Amino acid sequence: MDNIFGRMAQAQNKASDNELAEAAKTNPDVFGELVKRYQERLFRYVRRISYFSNEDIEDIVQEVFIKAYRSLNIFDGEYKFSTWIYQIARNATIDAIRKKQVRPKTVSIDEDDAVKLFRSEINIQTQLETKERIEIIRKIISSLPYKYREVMVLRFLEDKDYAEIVEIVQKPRGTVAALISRGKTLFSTEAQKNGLL
Amino acid sequence: MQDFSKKVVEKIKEEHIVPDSRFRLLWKSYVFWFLMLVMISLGALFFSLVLFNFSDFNPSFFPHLKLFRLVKILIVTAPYLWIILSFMALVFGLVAFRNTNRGYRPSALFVMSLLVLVVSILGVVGHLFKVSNRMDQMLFDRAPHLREMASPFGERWSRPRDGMIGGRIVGTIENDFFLENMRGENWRIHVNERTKFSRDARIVPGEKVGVIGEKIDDFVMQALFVHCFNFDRDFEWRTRFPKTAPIPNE
Repeated sequence: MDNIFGRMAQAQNKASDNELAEAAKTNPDVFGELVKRYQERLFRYVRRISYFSNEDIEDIVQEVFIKAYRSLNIFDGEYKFSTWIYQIARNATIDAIRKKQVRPKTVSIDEDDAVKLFRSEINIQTQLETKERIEIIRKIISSLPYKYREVMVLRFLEDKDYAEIVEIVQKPRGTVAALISRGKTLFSTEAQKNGLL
Repeated sequence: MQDFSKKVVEKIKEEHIVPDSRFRLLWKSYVFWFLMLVMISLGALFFSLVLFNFSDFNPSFFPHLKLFRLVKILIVTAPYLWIILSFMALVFGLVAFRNTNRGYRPSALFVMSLLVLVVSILGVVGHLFKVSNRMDQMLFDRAPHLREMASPFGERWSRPRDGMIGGRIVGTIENDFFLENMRGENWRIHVNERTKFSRDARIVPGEKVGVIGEKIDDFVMQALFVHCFNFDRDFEWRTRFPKTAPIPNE
C-alpha cells in the first residue's frame, strides 16, 4: 500500500503545474502538491510587495490558494500556472492593502533582495560592505511608488519576463516597460543622492 | 515559514469548496464583450448619420466656394449631435473592452485605433446601404423637434450671406429662376454665362436645387453653381413646401 502511495507521490512530483491544475479540478488532494510548490515563493513575493507581518502574509497566501482552487475552471493553460497564481496573489495583496487603509511605511526587503535589486539596477559589481549602505538601499526601494516597486520586484527579484509581468499586473506591455524604466531611473537618482553611485 | 498545504486541502474538503463553473467566473467578461459590440454597432450607426449629414456636399462645389467660406460652413453646420454620440460610443466601447478578462493586454491607443477603424468601416457600409437614410427619416418622424440640432442640412442651405441657398424652383423668367428656400422665402436667382450646372440639374418648376453664388441684393443671388438634390429629403420638404406655390411677380 505504501508503495502505491509512494508511486503516486512520485508521479505528482514529476507532473507539470498545468497537469496538476487540471487534475486538481476533480481531486483536491492533487491541489496540495501545487500548494507545496508555490507556498514559499508566494510568501516571499507578498512580503516583497507589502508591509504585512508574517502571520498576515501566511493568511493572505492561504486565501490565495483557496481563491485559486475556486477559479481553477478559468485556468486554461494559455499561460503558465505560476503566472496565473502570481496574478491572484498580487490582486489579493492589493485587496488586503486597501482593507487596511494604511499607507505602507517600509516593505520587507531583506539584505539579499536589496543587494540583488541594486546590482541589477546599475550593472556594476560593487562591494556593499556596510549594513548602512544596505539599509539605505532598502529605504530607497520602500520609498518607490507601489506601481514601480511591484514591477521591479517581479522583474529583478522574481525573475519574471515581460510577458509574465503583463499577465500578473494586468497592464499592457508598453506600460510595463515604461514602469520598469521609470522605476530604474528613480532608483538610480535616489542612489546617487545618497552617495551609493 | 510552515507548510500549510495540508491545511489548505483540509479547508477545501471541510467547507466543500468546489471550483466555480467557467461561466460563473466569466459572465461579467461576457457582458462587457456584449456591451462593446453594442457600442461598436451604435458608433457605426451614429457615424453613418454623420456621413449622411455631409452627403449633400459635392467636390464640384469646392471651386465655387472659397476655402475659408467652405471651412466655416462645415464647422458651423456640422452634425455635432451625431459626432458627439459617435465619440461617446467609442469611449464606452473602449471602457467595456478594458473590463473584459483579456482587455488589459493591448494598449489603449491600439484598442481605440482599432475601434475607430471598425466603426468607420461599418459606418461607411451603413451609409452606402442607406441605413442612415432610414434612421434619419424614422428619427425625425418621431422627434421632429430634434431636426435643428441633428440635421444641419436646412441650416447649411439657408446661408445666403455665405453664398449657399437651397430650395425648390417655383418659376422661371428669361435666364433667371425663382427659388423658394427652406424658410419659405422667395429668391430670384440670376443665371449668366459664368453659371455652371451639375449634370443632372434642370431648371424647371418643382426641381429641388442648391445654389452657390453671391448675394447681390435682398432676395437676389447671382448663381455660380447650381446643384440638383437627387436624394430624397422628403421630411425636410414636406412641411416647407405647399403643393402649389404662387410664382412671385417681377
